[in-house]
Amino acid sequence: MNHEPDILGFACNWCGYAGADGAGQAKLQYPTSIRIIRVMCLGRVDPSFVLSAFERGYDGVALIGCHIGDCHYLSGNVNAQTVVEHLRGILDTMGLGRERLRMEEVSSREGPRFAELVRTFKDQLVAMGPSPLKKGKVELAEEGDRP
Amino acid sequence: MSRKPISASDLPCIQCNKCTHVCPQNMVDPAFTPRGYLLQALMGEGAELEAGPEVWRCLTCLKCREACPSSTDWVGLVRELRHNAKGKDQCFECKHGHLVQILQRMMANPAIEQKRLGWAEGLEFADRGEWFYFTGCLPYFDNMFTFGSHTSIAKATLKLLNAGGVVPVLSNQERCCGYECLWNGDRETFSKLAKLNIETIAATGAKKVVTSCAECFHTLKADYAEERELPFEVVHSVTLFAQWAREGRLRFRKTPTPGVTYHDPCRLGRYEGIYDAPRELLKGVAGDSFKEMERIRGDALCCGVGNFSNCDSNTKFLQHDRLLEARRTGAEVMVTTCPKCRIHYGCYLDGRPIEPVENLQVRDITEIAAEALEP
Repeated sequence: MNHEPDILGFACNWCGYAGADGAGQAKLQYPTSIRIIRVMCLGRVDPSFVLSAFERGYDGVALIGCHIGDCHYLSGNVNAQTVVEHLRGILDTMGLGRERLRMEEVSSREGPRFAELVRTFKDQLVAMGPSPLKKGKVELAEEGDRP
Repeated sequence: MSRKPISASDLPCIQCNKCTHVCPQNMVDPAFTPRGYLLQALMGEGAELEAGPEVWRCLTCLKCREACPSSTDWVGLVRELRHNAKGKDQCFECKHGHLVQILQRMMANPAIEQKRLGWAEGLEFADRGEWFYFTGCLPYFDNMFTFGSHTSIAKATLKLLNAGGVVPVLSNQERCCGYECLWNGDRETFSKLAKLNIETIAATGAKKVVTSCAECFHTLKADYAEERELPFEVVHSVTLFAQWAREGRLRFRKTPTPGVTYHDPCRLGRYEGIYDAPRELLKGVAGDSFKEMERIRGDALCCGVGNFSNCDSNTKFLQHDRLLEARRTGAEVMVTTCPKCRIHYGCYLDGRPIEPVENLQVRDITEIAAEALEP
């Protein structure tokens, strides 16, 4: 089944977001399926953010941050790795599949790597089919929306 | 069976203040007074109560009704007020970022096909049959609360059921019972979950549903019955195992265990009045090493958290108080019949306790019983 997946990306200010910016500045082509939320560090990403995204119908969530060891706050991305591991367990139990959650290391100079990540993630989600929680294209939340 | 909303004017409160005296929240914070809030409600200021934070701070442990001479249902009113507050988009403070509520809302979607039986691999269970084992959220807790295993409770229950000659039905389609939604004012999600669960259980032809969680037990038994008539009977595992032990269907070897004490969870004790079965089972397993705490049965102290929504510094005081009380009996294991009590105490012991509580474990009764099972 062919469908246009919705991906939510959490990108850290120092590496992931700068990498995405780099991909844009270099005019690299990548799918528009991804929406990016900038966070200061992946350590800020609470498990409930990710699950809330799936609840709203996103097909995949990507956490894009610094390479391990390069975290601006020393250990934010290491903490995020633990969170991701547990969230994957929850996604498996829920039947959505652990592959719908990705954590990637993209440094500020790796624009091409960011573009490639979005491409492969999109292809993978197309192959997996839409999330069972999907109710059509995910609409952006209105201001004041509560989870 | 339809539910009649509780209205403040129906409450037979006589303003005697007994509720406030026994309230655990009041024990730590004297400004929290159920009597005062009841007066407010009786005076027709329910709307103001809804808007305030007090209604979200009640632990719903029901100690107030235990003490009340006129059986005033303050906790029922709290549930009602929370429901009304939710409708007006007022919300409790986020604990765990609403994680539990998000999971419940996801599960309330009929399109979800869960794979929740990973823990039961290699154990005996069926697809259809007379008995249904309602696991609850235990498979999720393993990934949510990282101290200890939570499916170990499910495994122990299944082992005991098998030992008693029952091969229960387990279903991937089972969902959370909806307890947290119901008590956080989200009756819509609760109704969806209740409908799906009743359909799932009915489809397996089960006539008896066993739960190993005090909250699942009370929710299925009392709150599902409010939604619609149930085609099955609900029983908590501890009642069943105590009965089986009495009949000789389960045999335990008395192991020289360190002291064991029992903490009454609110949903099994004060809500459902089951006090003797867990004690009977524990005495059968631990013999004379079972010791009682000071505050037991209807007087038992709350674990300090209601439906994952009101954990704060008061909670920590209550937990510390209770754990020290358990330690004073000389017990090294505090046993409970509610996985959530175990999570909340476990969280306290695993986190940053006010001062360390040495040599005390909090465990579920099924785990203790399964270990002592005679082969």
